[in-house]
Amino acid sequence: MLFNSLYFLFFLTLVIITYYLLPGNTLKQIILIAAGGFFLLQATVLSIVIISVIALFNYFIGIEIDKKRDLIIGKILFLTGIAINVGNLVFFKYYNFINENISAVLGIFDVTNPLPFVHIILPLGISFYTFSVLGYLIDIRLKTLKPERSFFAFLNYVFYFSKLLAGPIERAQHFLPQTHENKTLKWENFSIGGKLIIWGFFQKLVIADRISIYVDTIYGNVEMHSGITIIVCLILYTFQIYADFSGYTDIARGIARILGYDLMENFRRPFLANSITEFWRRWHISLSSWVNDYIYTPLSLTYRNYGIYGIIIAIFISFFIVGIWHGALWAFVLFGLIQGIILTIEVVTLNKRKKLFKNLPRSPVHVAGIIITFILIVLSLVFFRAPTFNTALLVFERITSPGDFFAGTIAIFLYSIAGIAILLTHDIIYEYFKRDILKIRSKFFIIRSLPYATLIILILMFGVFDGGQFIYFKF
Amino acid sequence: MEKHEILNQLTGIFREVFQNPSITINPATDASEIDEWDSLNHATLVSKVEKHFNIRFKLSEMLNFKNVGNMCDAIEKKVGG
Repeated sequence: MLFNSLYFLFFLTLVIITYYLLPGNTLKQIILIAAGGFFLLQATVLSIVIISVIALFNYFIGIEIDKKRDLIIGKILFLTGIAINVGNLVFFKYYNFINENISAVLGIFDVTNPLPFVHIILPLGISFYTFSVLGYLIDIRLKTLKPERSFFAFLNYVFYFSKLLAGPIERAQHFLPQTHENKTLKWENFSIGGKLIIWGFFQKLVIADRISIYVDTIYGNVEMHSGITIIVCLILYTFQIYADFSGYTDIARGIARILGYDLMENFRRPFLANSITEFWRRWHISLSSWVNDYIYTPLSLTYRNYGIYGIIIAIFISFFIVGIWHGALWAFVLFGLIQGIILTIEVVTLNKRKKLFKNLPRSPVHVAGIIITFILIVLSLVFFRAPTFNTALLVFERITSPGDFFAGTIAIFLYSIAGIAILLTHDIIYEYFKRDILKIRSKFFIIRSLPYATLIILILMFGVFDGGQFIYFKF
Repeated sequence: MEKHEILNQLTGIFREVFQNPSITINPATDASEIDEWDSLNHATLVSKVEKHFNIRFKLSEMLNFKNVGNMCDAIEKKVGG
């Protein structure tokens, strides 16, 4: 079931009405869990079986890890919990990938791989909820979180339907306390949530799906296009993936807000970052901060006596995980490693750069940083978008080739550019003037609603309604 | 060692690691208040603190350092009050 379908709109309306009609917190939680289950049932029965087993397992083991923390068994339980969650994700997402690579390596020595190939369907949302429950267990072990005693509250944390398919990867500390609040019908929640949803749909339907028509055309025939066309396509794709994922996140957050929940921010104007280090603090924040807290920090502290080398090892392992988290492909691993290399260069040269730029005017250095960061992101995203590794190489090969610029259908191209202009203006004004261009201060509701009414009109006029899936659903 | 003495010595280490002689810290100070204190040099800071006080933290202790106060408490426990 897609967020951008009438069927979903009907489903959501039904959930919201039932939710607020039901008395008491437990019944409200049950309807949300059921909504999550229904969401998953649309895909495969396996998805719902796996998530149910994982939720039950983590609920019980979380309580036991806390209870027996001072005993050896507590540590064993904790490690078992981590191993089972990681094992579950690795099996479903990476088994065949690992298997293929084992076969390739054994093939060099003319040995047949004894492991069988298994036809595996990836359970929906597994990459997102696995990271959520792993964080939950680690927090309990570190005593920064008490295990959740309420069964329904915990199930709600894992099953919550608007974050189920593509996050944000909510932290237990942020989400679980909200499940115990008394949820009453509030106009404010509907207003804030509704605005987030409208802005989310605008990003998805008007910007991302419009751009994708152009990007798909160019990527479908890379060998036919000139360097300038390819460069424009790569830039547009960078905005497409941002608008797509940020749009999805805003819709997910908006739905949650209407139901009285606050989901974490996933993007903070990422293309205004002036270094790759800064970019990763602004892009897919729920994943990058998760990896920072649970992978990078423990590793960098473990290797603290190796100085800069310890930090570099921690950076590479972290970005290997960020890369492969997106899917079982070497292209994603390469994407992660490229980020690791750039980050390492930034860390190693930090002091030198500070000294070098100390006497230069700040603004040009800042803008230059933003442009260089953006170019690096545009180039590394080739591995994200290219359907095959060879296509990615072809893109780099042809990037300097001469020829005319191909704009495709002019209207589609211009709408894409206009959409990007709106998105960038929104981000720049928010970043440097702390003002939301969608917010008008007025005592009249109609005037305050004008920007959103305009967005709705733009969505209806220029939205692409058969664009389909959100990019991040496949991760 | 008294807590304020630990804090005094920590101030020196913070200033050295973050190369900023004007840094002042108190038990409530956390990473959000010091620009230079980010995840990239946090490990260096902890390593310098260990060497200075001649102590060794456990991983679980270090992961619970949410502010300067947490770090002070852990140091105090190891060097004796």
